[in-house]
Amino acid sequence: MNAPDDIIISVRDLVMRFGDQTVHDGLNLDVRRGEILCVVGASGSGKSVLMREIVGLQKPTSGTINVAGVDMDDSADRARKIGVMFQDGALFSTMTVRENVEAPLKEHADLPPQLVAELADLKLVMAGLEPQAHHKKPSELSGGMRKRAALARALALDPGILFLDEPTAGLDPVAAQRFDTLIVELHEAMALTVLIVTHDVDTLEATADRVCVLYGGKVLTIGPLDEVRRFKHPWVQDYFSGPRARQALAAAR
Amino acid sequence: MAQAASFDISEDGPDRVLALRGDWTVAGVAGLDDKLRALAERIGPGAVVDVSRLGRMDVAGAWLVDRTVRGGSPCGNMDAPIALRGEHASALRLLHAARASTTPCELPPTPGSGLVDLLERAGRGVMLVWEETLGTLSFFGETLAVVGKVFLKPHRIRWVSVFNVMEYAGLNALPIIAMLAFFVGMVIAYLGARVLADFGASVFTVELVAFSMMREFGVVITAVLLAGRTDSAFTAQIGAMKMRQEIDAMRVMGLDPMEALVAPRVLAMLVMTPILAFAAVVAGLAGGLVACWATLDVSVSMYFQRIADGVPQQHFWVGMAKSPVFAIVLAVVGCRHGLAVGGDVASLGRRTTSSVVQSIFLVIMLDALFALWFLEMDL
Repeated sequence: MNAPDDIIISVRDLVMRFGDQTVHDGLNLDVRRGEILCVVGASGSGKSVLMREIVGLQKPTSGTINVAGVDMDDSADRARKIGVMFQDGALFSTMTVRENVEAPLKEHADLPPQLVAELADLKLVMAGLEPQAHHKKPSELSGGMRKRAALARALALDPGILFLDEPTAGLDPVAAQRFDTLIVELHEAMALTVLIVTHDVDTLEATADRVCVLYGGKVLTIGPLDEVRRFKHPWVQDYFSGPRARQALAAAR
Repeated sequence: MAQAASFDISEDGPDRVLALRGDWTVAGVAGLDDKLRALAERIGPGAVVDVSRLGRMDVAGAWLVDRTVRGGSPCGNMDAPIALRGEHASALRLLHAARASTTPCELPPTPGSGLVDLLERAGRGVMLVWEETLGTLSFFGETLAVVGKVFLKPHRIRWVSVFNVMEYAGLNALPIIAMLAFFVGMVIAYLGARVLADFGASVFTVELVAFSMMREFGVVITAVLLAGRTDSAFTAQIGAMKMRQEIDAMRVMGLDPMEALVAPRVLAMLVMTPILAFAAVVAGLAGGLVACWATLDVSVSMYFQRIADGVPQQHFWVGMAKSPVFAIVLAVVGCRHGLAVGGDVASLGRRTTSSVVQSIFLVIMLDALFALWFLEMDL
């Protein structure tokens, strides 16, 4: 569907230090247009920091990050073209779910109010939230519904690139599986490039075109799941041969 | 570069054709919404969409097109065919995606009559006041029971917490309370000197300052300041713990939040409020002294001599007697609202506001009742 060299995000020689702790030590990463790339790594390996750097929430110590077609210094341009779903949803708690999705539309697109409401409802239903839930406050929703609302908000402006931080963390297995399916469906329907930071082997199996393993501040290996799984490295072997991972991979077969 | 979105409507034999041009994306379709709404009756349902000259399209653009071919209403004919003419990379997929996520319309809520609504809101307001009164009273009772219980078993008092609260809620409030009382004492003295001079009695300014600071202002200023400073902090602290389920965790572990959180705060306030009130009285007298000395040439020794001779001690005790009551009111109201915080951030803000408003209201109301009572008792 897309040429392998059609790179949408390119990270070059990224170094990130907090005090004397080095999180990224010359990290290089290319994300292809239209793929779902899952980033895995141990806790503290800098997965979330990498995401925060790419979306512009954190400035790396050195190195460059280029996102094709996005002016990273223009926050409005970034907001239109990159959608981010945070781990706990980060929905605005004083607004209803629909107002949450309307917020970016009102801020960045000059649309009539009625159309804004219609589009917000559309995105919420696309993310799998029934209309009864649209007028509720985030605190009245279950964890899974909050994630769906957060996903709808991330997609409000039809961004080309979507970042998901731990999309299935805290969900029950059924809800997590549905969420994985939803990601794949939306990825196809909206031609998204998706970068997922995750721990969940099920998510890798269900969604990933490619998997990227972060270790020691660098990309240890990147490629299709089957190749990455055979990669000879203790951490990778432990990760994929743990009982939970085996179960997930066996179930997928 | 983005091309402006536009459209044409034409008749082609039996078909009506909606021809799209330019980029139909969320950034470009703003101006088309009204036009499409107005023309939808004429176009759909059943129009053929010509996408041969369509640029880029996203879900927002697809929604507009789909809404139009369904007849213009957000929940129009869901069975209208999606017929395309020409080739486009993503239009068909997006139109189907938009259609699949369209929801049936909700019925608009029936508008109520204005008068009924007003009466309903008024009724709810009255009930709310009643419930708040009841809630505060029952929490007050519960607190007294817990504090009584803790006193019977002194080893259950959490001294670390008590002293911690005493420090940040009491000691740290001392400078601001003393400073305010000092200024209020000065203001009273200036006013007294000015008004009493008309009667040739300006030397009684000293008594005025001593009376008012000891009996009323010392303790009321303290209580109002603590309401703004400490009571709100109680609500915010306990409310934040409630939001993060720390209170639930305490309950599960068999820790009584009343005993662990409320009792130390009540005890600390019971100790600190009289001390702060005393400090306020002293600072107020000092403020009065400065003003008397500046305007009336009253010397320091004369100032204190007049207070000792002319102001019976009971006035000081009348004022101080009120301070433990205010202490309990502040601690109880602050903690109650903290524990009543719900799961969202907005309720924390609401509860903090009403905690401060209620405690100031109660302080002033109780002060008025005390004033009446002490006067009737000839104290």
